[in-house]
Amino acid sequence: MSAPTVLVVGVGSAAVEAAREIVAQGGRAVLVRSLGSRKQCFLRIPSGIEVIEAELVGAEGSPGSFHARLRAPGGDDMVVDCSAVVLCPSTGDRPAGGAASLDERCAAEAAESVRSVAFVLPAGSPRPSFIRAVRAASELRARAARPSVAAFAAEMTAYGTDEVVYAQAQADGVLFVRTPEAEVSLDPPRVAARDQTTGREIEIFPDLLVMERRSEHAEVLTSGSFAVARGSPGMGAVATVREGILSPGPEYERLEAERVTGARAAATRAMTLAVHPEDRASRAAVVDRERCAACLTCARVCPFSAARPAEEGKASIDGALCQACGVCVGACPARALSLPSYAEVAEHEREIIMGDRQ
Amino acid sequence: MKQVLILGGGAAGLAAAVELSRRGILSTVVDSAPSAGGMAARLACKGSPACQHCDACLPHDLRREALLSPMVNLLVSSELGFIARGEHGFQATVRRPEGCEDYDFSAVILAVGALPFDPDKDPRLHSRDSPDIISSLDIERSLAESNSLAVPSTGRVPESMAIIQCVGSRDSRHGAPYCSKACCKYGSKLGRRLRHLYPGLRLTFFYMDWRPVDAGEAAPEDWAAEDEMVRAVRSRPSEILAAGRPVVRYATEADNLVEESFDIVMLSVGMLPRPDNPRLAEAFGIGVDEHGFLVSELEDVIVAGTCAGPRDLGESIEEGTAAAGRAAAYLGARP
Amino acid sequence: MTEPIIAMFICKTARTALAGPEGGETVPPEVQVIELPCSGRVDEVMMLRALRQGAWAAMVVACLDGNCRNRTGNYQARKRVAEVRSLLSQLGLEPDRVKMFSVASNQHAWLMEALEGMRRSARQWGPIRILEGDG
Repeated sequence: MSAPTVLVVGVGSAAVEAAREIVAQGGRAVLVRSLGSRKQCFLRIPSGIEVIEAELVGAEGSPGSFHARLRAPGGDDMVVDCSAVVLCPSTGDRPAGGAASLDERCAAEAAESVRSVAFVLPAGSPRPSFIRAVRAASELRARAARPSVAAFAAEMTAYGTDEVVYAQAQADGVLFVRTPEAEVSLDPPRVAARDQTTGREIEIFPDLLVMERRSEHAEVLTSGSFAVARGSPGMGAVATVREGILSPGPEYERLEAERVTGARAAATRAMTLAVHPEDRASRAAVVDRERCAACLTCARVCPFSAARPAEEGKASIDGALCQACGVCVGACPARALSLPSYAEVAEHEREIIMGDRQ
Repeated sequence: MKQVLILGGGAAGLAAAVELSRRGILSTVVDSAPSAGGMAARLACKGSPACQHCDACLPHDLRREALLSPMVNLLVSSELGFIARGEHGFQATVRRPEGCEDYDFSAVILAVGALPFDPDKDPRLHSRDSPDIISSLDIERSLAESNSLAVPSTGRVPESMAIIQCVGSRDSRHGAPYCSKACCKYGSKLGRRLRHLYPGLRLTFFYMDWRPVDAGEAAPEDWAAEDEMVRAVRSRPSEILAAGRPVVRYATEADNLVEESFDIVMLSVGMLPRPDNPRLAEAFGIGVDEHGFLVSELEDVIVAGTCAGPRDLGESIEEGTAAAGRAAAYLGARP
Repeated sequence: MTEPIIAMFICKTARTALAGPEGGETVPPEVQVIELPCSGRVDEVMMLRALRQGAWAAMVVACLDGNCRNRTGNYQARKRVAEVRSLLSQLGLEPDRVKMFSVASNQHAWLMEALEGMRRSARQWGPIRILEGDG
């Protein structure tokens, strides 16, 4: 049997890690990415991963057999068959003009002449921003010139053992100012704020100003025009509401170690589903067309949009989407629907209180 | 048939076992407790009333699937007696109440978990001197077992409660210098659950920094703004006094020293690495980091969950799932 | 005095909560557990038939709002339970004979408490008087 194909959608490091893990687990990884206005991507793609520069616009089907529709920059559409999809949403374009953006390279790229640096992280900054700023601050302090470094943040989000790195940066003389809203102006660069911890007013004129952008937390995961809602906790790790579409969540919300874990977990789940897809067709809801009154109540209540009008307006159930939950069965006024795997429930309707039950 | 040893049947261990079982790979889970689920299984649901995404039910779902699967050999009240690396994997002896059993394993997943900080270790908390100064885990157990919480000394419904965050964490003298990562999440969600169960309960949430695991989680100030019975105080109390009713002594943002009494003081305890981690690491040929957590660079010994560092449940489960994928890849169980 | 007969319609996820810490389900024999693929499968016929065929009360046990594996199944269940309760009221029967409970898979104690509550109430009512076959 040939290696199952798993589509990985995303431009960030999580997508690359997921693709790498899929190959490591014996799958064929196809990395679909839409760089958009970004001119280049600094991530190295390991060999063995195919890359398609395109946007995911749709994915029909079910685990084991998805038909993913991709749109290339020229506007041409193509279909890629795959067993599962791993969605790795990442951040959009960085903030423009004036301030440097907070990323892994900002300390290394700072000019040698820089003597004073300010990092500004407003309320709503992504979770990993703070430790990224702390590491960059420590890197700058390690220079021979020992520039003065101040970090203005609404919350000092140093998770887990990052707390120790934060403590070390404080001991190393990085000034941390807790403020929900620092005043920032760019010409000349100036940052002013009142530190909530001490009550002190602080104003500095840095040579280098590094800023983070706020990010919105969304329940819906999007990559270009493709969107899918996050799964509820009971749906399992890295799940979305669509079976076979996995996601570690938006990259910008996750710490570095969490990104790797999430990407690997998504790759693992994708491969498990690809290798052992359930037999959905046999468990899907069944329509008795004689009884169906074409009222489309089922179409309205189905949580997975599996029930649709077909010939004569009567209901038809898409076996690939049906999750055999039975909501349509209970809702149908004509009792035209049934679930083959829960036939005994129908039995119970005839004889609820029985002497002996299995 | 090749199989995987999973040491520890908590959230990460069960997640790994279940994922392996879905791939048709056999695993043996060894746990010293009388039932599987680890620390996580003793946590209460934080629904208030809607699901709060605390993840506490997930280990129960995983345990059920593991118990039903013929691919998971779940050994409780059991311990690893002997492990040795052979040519084709590991030879191990598992000590069970009935006797010892020998196994051959192709790969190992270490998911032995962490230990909760014991508040009795910090004399400033006076948890030994008052029955009403209790750890968050005591409250979780009470909610899980009886769906209620009574003031320990009086048996009455609590009317006021202080939640103290970062107990045993960010503390180089008692506990650990790092942040335990999961406590902001569980401390605030536990508070919401208690507010839901006891509408007359006044809560004061004492915290240092707000470090949510879920990016969309409301900060304590926002929680306090939407619930008038909740107060958020950004301060680390210097002492909890046991004088009749427990008293929290803390400095306000204006640097005034305040003492306030509550019916119950809840200590959100952090997590510490197990003291036998170094011995375990040596047995498997892996290492421990500066804080005592397990670190492995070996392909066939994979570390997952809180034994690798502070984690919340969601991350432990993801790590267990990923560990299963790695183990499967190593076993060459390819499609 | 016989024990009240309770019909418990429970989805397979919430059913994990029926099992205690030891792993076994500990419901009294007069409680009929009917497992559904999702609480959203429950319908008026099922609930009313349960009462007509001798159950003194019916519980519909679903997952918490926001944690249904089928996204909206538990909301459907709530709607149907509300409809049946309204119907019972109009028929002159106690609407509390049919009640919905939201339970997480680790809320064994709460589910047992809820069951006890239903049994207590049901003892006050007895079975409904309209039994199948009566003229």
